[in-house]
Amino acid sequence: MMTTIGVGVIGTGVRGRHALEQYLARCRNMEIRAVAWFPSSAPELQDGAGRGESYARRYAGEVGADYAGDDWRQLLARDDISVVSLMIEPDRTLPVASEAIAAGKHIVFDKPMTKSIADAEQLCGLLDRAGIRHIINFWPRFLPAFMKLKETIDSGQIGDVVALDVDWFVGHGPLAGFTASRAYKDVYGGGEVTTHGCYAIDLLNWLAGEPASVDGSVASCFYEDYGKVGMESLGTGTIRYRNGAIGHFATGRIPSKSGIPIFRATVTGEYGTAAADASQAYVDVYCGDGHRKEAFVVDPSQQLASAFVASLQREGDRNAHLPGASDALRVSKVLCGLYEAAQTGRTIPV
Amino acid sequence: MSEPVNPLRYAIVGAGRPSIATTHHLPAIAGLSDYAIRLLADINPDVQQYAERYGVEWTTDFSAVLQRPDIDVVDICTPDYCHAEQAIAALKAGKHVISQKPMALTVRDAREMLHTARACGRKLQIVTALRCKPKWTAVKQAVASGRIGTPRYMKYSHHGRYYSYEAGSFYRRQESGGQMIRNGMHYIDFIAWVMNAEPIGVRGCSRAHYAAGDRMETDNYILSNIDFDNGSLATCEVNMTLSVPKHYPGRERILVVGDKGHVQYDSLPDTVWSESAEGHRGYPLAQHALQADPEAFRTLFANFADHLLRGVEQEVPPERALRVFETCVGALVSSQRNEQVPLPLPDGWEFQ
Repeated sequence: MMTTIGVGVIGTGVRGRHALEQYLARCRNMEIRAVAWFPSSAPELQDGAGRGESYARRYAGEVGADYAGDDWRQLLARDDISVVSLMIEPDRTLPVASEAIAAGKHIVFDKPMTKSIADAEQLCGLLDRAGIRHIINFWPRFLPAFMKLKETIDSGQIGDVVALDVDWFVGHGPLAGFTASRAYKDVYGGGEVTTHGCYAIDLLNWLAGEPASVDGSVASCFYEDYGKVGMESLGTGTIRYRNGAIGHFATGRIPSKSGIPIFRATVTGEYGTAAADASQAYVDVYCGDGHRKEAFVVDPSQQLASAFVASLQREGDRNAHLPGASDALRVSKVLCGLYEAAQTGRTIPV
Repeated sequence: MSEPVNPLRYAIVGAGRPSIATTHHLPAIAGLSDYAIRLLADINPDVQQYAERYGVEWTTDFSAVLQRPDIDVVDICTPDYCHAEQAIAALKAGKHVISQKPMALTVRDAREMLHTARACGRKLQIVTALRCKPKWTAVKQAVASGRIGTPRYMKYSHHGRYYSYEAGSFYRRQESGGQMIRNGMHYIDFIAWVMNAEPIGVRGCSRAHYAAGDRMETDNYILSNIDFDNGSLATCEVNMTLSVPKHYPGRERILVVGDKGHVQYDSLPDTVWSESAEGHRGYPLAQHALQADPEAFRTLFANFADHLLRGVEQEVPPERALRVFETCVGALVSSQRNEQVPLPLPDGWEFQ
């Protein structure tokens, strides 16, 4: 009989909103056993939707887990917890993750994994030496259209990648209750190019290879609170890859209320082109009664969580196809370079 | 110099073979009562047969065109490397000038065209007629309606097949500037028009990818990221690397993000799809995205006539054409320098 794997949650604030542990808990033989509140470095980062300590306590009750208060070390000390869902501020990830690694816990990270490249490099080293299994929440890789795009490239049918681009825009404006602040920008390193650009950059890297340099622009043009603190709401970046490919992304959190995000990627190869629209959650069916569209459920976060759980339950090496710390490091290098490029106008080596 | 008469007495240079002059300029001008075609010119004596179709005179001597006192407007449709020199000569000869894009091959020459027009009190119209194509006008109208608010980001992508110029052609050489110089003005003009803003900086990145057995000196993938004077951004992707498979549909995509919504256009749906043992195959109905529309040219030429005869504002004034051209050159310069370049370009900054 398979042993149930216990999950401990550290952090339920702004980042906890997207917490992957709920997807882990839907997998067989996985159970959230404890929740620890992680005090934010600034009150405004606790999120206006009431994500303070009382929320963390309530959340623990909702998921049927013990509440550890702010004593996350108590959670790490538990023998019945072997996976930690670490949803805390990126500039504080390294010290907490270091202790989780030392305690032998597998880790689920949100993005960006860290704020600085140095922290990401250190964390990569710790994870590799400890042999800890981990994933980064780069769920867009599990959108069916992008998985198909990756498969198309890997099959060689369009040849080596010459150029590629990703458009990644989320609508409906800022999240309910969120107000941009200098504290947020300081902790996360930027605004929506960090929040959503992470996904776009990871997709580009995943499809194209190792980045060599980056340039970009950012703009704060939609929301008054963003403008006041110099936080960008959209941006673009051009990444030159070591294999000669040119990648481009455009991303942002836009006011549009269409309800359909813009999640697109196009890859030009030596012999052809493949274009994916991951926002289309339907297939076109042509048959005797004509043409119809059949919707399907797309739950990439669940797929990512399920793949991670499968890797935990398997002996041997971590599933190399899962997004990990080295992917997060690559994204951090591009992000940091992009912000510098936006400031200086120079192309920054990665 | 005398004021132009109505109709404007018109001559065209570069009308001796099937080309944009004979397939689009002449039919468009012929349909406008504000113009009267008087003279066709080309070094190729085949210009005679085109002149006979319109019942007008012809010549193989460019200078003869400039010496004609009964010509008000000279339309230059010669090779790209002739545009600046011939436009400047025509302006100095007292003619108003229409010139095909690109405006010139160097920023210095383009600026000299504008300077000459001003100094001589003559008018200059650079032909970026594709903004008048119905689908692009529709995008502009959708944005200008205000439904999506102020446009803050625009992306224009053109994926197509590069034109394999014949061996020895000027357009295979690096000095031609490649696609960004040859056709870039269309895209950048369209973007700036939709965004209703002036480019003030550009970052470019380019590379070459050609089918096996063919190689041109110019890059056929050019990515330009543009900063505007109102803080907005835009991306122009000119991807002319497609070479196989045959009949592969080229594709134009447009995205405009405003502060209240967004607008999208995708040319690909204009395709017939077949389902057979060969799979799900597409057959594009859309013609090559850059195929010019005579109606679009007619609109631009009508506006130029209105400007000359009635003082109506020029839709695409030469100052805008110059900034657009400098953005195209700037994208190439930026790619070579690995840094963003300001617009207008500093003196002496030309693509190599």
